[in-house]
Amino acid sequence: MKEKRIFDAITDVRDDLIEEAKSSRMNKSRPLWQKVAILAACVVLVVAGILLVPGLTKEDSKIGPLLDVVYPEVYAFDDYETRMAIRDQNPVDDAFIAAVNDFSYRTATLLLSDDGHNKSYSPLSLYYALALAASGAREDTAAELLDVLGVPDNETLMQQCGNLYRLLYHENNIGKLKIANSIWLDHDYRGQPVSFKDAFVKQAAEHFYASSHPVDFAQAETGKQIAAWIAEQTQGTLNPEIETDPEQILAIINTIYFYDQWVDRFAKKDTSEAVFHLVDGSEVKTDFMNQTFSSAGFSRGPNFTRAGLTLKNAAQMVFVLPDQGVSPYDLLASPDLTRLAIEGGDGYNGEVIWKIPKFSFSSVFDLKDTLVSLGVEKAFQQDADFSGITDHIAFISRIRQETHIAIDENGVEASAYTKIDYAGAAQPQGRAEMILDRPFIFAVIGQNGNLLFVGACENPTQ
Amino acid sequence: MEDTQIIELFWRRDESAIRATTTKYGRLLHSIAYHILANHEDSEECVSDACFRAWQTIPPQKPVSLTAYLGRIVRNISINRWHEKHAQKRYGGAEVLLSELGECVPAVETVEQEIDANELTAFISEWLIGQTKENRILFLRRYWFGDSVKSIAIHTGTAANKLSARLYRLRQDLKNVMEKEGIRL
Repeated sequence: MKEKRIFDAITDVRDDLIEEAKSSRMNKSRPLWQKVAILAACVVLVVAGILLVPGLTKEDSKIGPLLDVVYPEVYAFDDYETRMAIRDQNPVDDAFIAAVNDFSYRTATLLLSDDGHNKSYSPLSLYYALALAASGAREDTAAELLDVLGVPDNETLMQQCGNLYRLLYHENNIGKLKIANSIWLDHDYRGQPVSFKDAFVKQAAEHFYASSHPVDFAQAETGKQIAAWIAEQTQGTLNPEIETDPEQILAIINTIYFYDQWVDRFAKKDTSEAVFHLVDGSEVKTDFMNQTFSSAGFSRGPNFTRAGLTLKNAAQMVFVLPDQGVSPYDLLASPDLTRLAIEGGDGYNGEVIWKIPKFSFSSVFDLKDTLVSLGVEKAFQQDADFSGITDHIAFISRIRQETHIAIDENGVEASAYTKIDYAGAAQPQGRAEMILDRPFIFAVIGQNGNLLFVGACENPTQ
Repeated sequence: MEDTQIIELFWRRDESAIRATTTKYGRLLHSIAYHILANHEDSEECVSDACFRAWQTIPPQKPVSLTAYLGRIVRNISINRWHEKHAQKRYGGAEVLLSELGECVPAVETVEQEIDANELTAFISEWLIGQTKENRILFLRRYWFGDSVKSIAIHTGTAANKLSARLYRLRQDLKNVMEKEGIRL
């Protein structure tokens, strides 16, 4: 019985292989981060201040969240049917996707400036934070916010944000994309009561999955409480120091936490040290991941070559390599040029040689000036109308975004569908050398084209 | 208790070695036996027999991996018992395992001598080392530990049909490399 011989031979395979299989238990007990190819997190903090309006009765402070949220159900990464059902149940209009992307490119152009540092910006995170604020804005304040967000009214905004949220949200043993929102409300301003609208709290939970928390911004403990919530939502990736201000009555916080694995992982044995050329002409040495695809898509446009790496949960990370002598910021000089670099150019198919430096860095952006330059002025002024949130005169005093991004070799280890993509590939039309040994642009694009993160890497050792 | 301490107890001829082995490995060994025999009573007996066999063989043996050592014993005892039952038409779990492994049997006809058992083991070990870690673990969880595809699927959060397809490709790959090397069973 020949199969019995194989059975017996397997019985006697090397001890270390048995030990490996025993202890690994198919990687369930291993922390997920050990297999992460890309990890990115972002927090946007919108702080609202107040003008004192005396004479309102004081309400009792409540302990714990005013309203907690139940996140959408999660499903296995290869559960195609559920993914399609969620897509069908949560239609996102093309016009809305276009509006989000338009906002993304307009803001990215302003924020990704040539200051000698690596930068990673999450347009989607800012969009959600502003959308949540807009849902409580009225009159001119709302009009300005809706204008920059590119939607006609609050009803559309809330409905589309809710649908997009459910569409993007996923958590499985391969990857995770979680957008988490929260609102922090101080019911007391210098001994005077401040009341918030129940309708706002409810719609925030329904459309933005935002939990609501009563706090006292005069207490330093509140900053720690908010920081702990951010750390929890971003799995400890972000641990910002949150300064609170007694003048503050409201904080809106949006976090995006994302990790995923390359469909085609980079072999660690192929990672090697090489030189990265900085803008100032100096050089640094860093680890580069190497991989060659015999047949893959790439694009060429004016002054750049772009190619992408597919991630397991239907997202993609694209890298834009400026031509020699061209700065990444030349390609990011306007929203149209930024869009061209990330989406445009002429498509080809052929051999793609990858050489990508491993990197891990954090960025901080103060966003108020950027938004003011895009026409959002009223929301920052003391006569702002946030009467959908509170009858007090409230205005946004600060908006800040903090991000972290890291990439490494990991991905699914040569799984079944790793190579299927190449079956029936078109005839090679050239060859692209994505040798990212000089400053480059990257973007993480969600399943329906949303820019989750976009940035520039000037020095991977920073 | 650490494996080295258990082995030390065996070497001192301390009968608590059996209790320590049963406590630490009883469940795993039962699982391996059950996936071959599909019968709890028979599996229990195989585990008892395996512990007794360990008592008889340690010393002189001093296993490097107690898991592998005990697992091999229980696999051997269980598959032999399965053969007895098979002859009596009372077979269970191993029917499926052996049927799947039958797909690995190379179809080549060569004038080479049959590969001996040690060479075949070494060949399969090398083939496993050449696989990705994920595939190696999947293959051994299924064909060494005897885990069902369903339980692996639950454990990994992967659809069972995907794992079955992956196991099929692994069996085909093993068959192909054996054929390429002219191995005859």
